Amino acid sequence: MLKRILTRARAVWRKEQIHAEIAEEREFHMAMRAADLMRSGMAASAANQAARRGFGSGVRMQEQGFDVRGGGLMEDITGDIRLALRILRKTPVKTAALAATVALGIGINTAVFSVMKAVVLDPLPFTNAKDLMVIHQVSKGASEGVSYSNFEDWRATSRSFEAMAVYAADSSTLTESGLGRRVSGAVVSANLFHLVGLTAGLLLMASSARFLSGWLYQTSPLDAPSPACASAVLMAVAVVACWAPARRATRVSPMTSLRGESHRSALFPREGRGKATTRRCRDGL
Amino acid sequence: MSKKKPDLPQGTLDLLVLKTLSLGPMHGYGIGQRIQQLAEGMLLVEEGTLYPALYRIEQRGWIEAEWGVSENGRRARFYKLTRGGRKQLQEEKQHWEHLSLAVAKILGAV
Repeated sequence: MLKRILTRARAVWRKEQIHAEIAEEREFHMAMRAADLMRSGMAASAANQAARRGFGSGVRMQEQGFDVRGGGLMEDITGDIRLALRILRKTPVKTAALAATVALGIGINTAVFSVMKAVVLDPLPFTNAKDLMVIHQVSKGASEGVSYSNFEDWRATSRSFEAMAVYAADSSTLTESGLGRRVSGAVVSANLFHLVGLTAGLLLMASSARFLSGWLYQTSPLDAPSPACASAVLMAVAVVACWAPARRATRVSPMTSLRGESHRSALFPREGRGKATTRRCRDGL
Repeated sequence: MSKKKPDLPQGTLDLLVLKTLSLGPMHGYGIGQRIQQLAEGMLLVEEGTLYPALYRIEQRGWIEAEWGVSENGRRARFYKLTRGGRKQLQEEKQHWEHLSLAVAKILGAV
C-alpha cells in the first residue's frame, strides 16, 4: 500500500523522467528488432521502418505506461486540486470567509476540548493516583461519617496502607472589607496534602492564583456559560456561512445545473444569468 | 508475417510473461523473443500488447523492473519475477492446465 502511494507520488514529481524511461525502453526495443531484421537480411531503412511500425503510435504506450505507474490517477487528483485552488482564488472574499470559519471552528473546538480534557477526562494529577483509596465507614449498607478517634484507630492498626489522612466537607464565611462571602471547602488532616502530593502544587497555586485569574478573564474553569457561549457563536458563524451559498444553490434550476455539469460554472452563476434561468424555468412550468 | 498467427486469449499473456521471467530476468524485447522461440514461432507477441501487460504486471507487484545493461551493451529495463509473482505463476499455471484440460475434453467429445 505504502509502496503504491510512493509510486504515485513519484509519478507526479518525476513525470518527465518516467516518460523518458518509457521512450528509452521503446527505443531499445526498436533497435533490437531492427538489428535482428537486418541480420536476417533486411535493408537497414526497411528494418528500422518495420521495427517502428510494431509499436504503432508510441503515444498509446507512453500514456498506458504512465497511467500504470500511477500517473493517471495522480494527474486527475492534482487537476482537481488545481481547479479548486483556481476557484478559491477567483472568489477571495468567499475564500477568506471560509478560512475564517474553519479557523474559528478549529480554534474554539480546540479551546473547549482542552479545557474539557483537563477538567473532566484526565485523572487528577495526584502522585501514585492508582494507589489512592477512599475509605468509608459503612453502617447498614450506607456510608456515613467517621469519628476522629475511629480514624486514629484505623491509622494505628492498618497494615495495608502506607499513610492515611482524613477530611470533612465544610463551609465557612469569608469576610473582606465588610462584605461576607460563603465559601465551601473542607477540613483536612495536616498530612493530606503531602499524601496526595499536593504540597508543592498548593504553594505554587497560592502564589500564582492572583496572576492566573487575570488570564482566565476571571472565569472559573467549571463555569458552564463560557463553553456554551463559544458553541453558540460557532453555530451562528456556521449558519451565516452556509446561508448565502445555500440560497444561491436553490435559485438554480435543476436542469441548468445538470446541463452545467461539464463546465462546472453553473453552480456559481453570475447574478444576471441565474435570474434569467429562474424566470425561464417558471415560464416553462 | 504471411500466415495469420492466433491471438492470445485475454489474460494469457500475463501467464506467459511470468513463465518466461521464471527462467531469469530479461528485458522487454527478450521476453517477446523468448515467448516466440518457446512457442516455436506459433505465437506472435505484439509490442503494443507486451508493454502494457508488463507495466500492468509490474503495478500488481508480480515483477520488478531495474535498469541494466543488455547483451549488446545498451541500457535496458530488465524485469524480474518477485516472490509474489512466483506464487501467482503457480496459481495461473494450475488454472490454465485445468481450463485447457476441460476444453480439450469437450472438443474431443464424439
